[in-house]
Amino acid sequence: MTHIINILIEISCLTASLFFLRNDITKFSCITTVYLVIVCATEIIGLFYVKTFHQSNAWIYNIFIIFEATYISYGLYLALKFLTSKAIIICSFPLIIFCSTYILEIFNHGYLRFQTLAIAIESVLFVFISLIYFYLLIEQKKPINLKIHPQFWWVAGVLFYYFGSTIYNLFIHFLYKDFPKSYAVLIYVMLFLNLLLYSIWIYSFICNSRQRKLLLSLY
Amino acid sequence: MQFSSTEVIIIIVLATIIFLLAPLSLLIYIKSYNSLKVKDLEEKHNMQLKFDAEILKTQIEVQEQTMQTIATDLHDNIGQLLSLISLTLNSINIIETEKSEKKINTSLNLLHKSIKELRDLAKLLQGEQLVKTGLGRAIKQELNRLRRISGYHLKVKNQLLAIKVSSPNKDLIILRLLQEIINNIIKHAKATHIEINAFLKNDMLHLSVTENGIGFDYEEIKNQKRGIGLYSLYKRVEMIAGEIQINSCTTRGTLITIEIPYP
Repeated sequence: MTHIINILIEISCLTASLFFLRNDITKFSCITTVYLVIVCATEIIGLFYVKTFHQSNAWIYNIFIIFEATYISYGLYLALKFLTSKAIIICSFPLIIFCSTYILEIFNHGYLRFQTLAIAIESVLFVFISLIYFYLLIEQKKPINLKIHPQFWWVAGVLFYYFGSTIYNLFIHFLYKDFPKSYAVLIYVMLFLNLLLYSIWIYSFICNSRQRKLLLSLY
Repeated sequence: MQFSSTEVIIIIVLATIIFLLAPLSLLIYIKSYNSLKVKDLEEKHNMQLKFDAEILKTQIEVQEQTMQTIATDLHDNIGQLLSLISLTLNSINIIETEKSEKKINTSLNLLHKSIKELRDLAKLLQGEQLVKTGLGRAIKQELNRLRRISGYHLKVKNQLLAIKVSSPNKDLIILRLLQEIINNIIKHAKATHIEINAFLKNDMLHLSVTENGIGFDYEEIKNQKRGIGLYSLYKRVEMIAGEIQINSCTTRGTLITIEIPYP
């Protein structure tokens, strides 16, 4: 049931992106829509794979996290680009760390085991970069209009999701082995975090639409 | 130490709530800080508007002063000279050749004087734009006006003619300050000697005006709320981050010193 709700949340976000970003021709908006298609496809294929073949679908998610890490790093780079000249260095750093951990895990545990370490490290680095973004935002003298600032909300979603999922990343192994009953609560936590992430992203798409309307009205 | 499943669930839920509250607090802080920035920007914008309005007012006052000087000059100087020429020419009797020649020469001299006065007036009209060509020249022009009024022993040390920096808005305000001070001296001071010093040192413009008039009691004027001109001086100097000091002593005259960061 949780999987179905999760897929529905993601499809809602995809629909919102198709609706609100339909006239936005910027590269990031197109990539966002493609990324959300990949998210939905991964969830549906993953669920279908488990139900049909009754085997672990970890390898599907192992492929997906490559897209996830790349997309989030790129999004954070675009947000930071306007605040610092070192954005490319800051944002390529987690990607390099993630790739190194990913390859190391593949060598050590194979492709069928879920890459929890790579994800945990990636999460910490994304939280760190999001905090840098907010710090630089506070530092700059010019105020921003939060109602029409999509990047702010996009990064806020990233911060909530990856900071919130720290508990999941820390406890998943321990709970899976020792407290199988309590493990279910982590699934609900992740469901809630997904809901939070995609809701904030939908709001960021609305802000994007508002921003474009405002710009058009100026002409 | 062993945990039950329920305890573990509570710990996970609480930890997640705490982990979500942290970014939430951060966002609330950013939002309120951003609102403060907006407020600050609005205040700065309003201050800029006030400053622009004051500059406009000053421009109008400088123009009014110029027009007033022109009107006075036309009436008291050129008008009188032309009347005198007219009277002299009317009194010419062609039969009396010798006398007529003398009168024509006198008229010619008066005419030349009128032309000179008109030229000076034309310069004054240009003077309205003078502040654009430099504060030193604008002050010089203003002091020429004071000289024409005469009756004063003037001692001027204007070192601003040589400066190469300028600040159009400040120049206009400084010129207006000087005009206001001179007007006050003419109207109220009953002075015979005026000393004016203007120079630039360490990015500070110094302007001092000393006169030996009847002086005044600043506190008394302030209490009686009569010092609108003085209030205007203080307000304008403050607006361009400067400092003004007025030292006056009844029967001994007044010393006004102004220091303004420049340019």
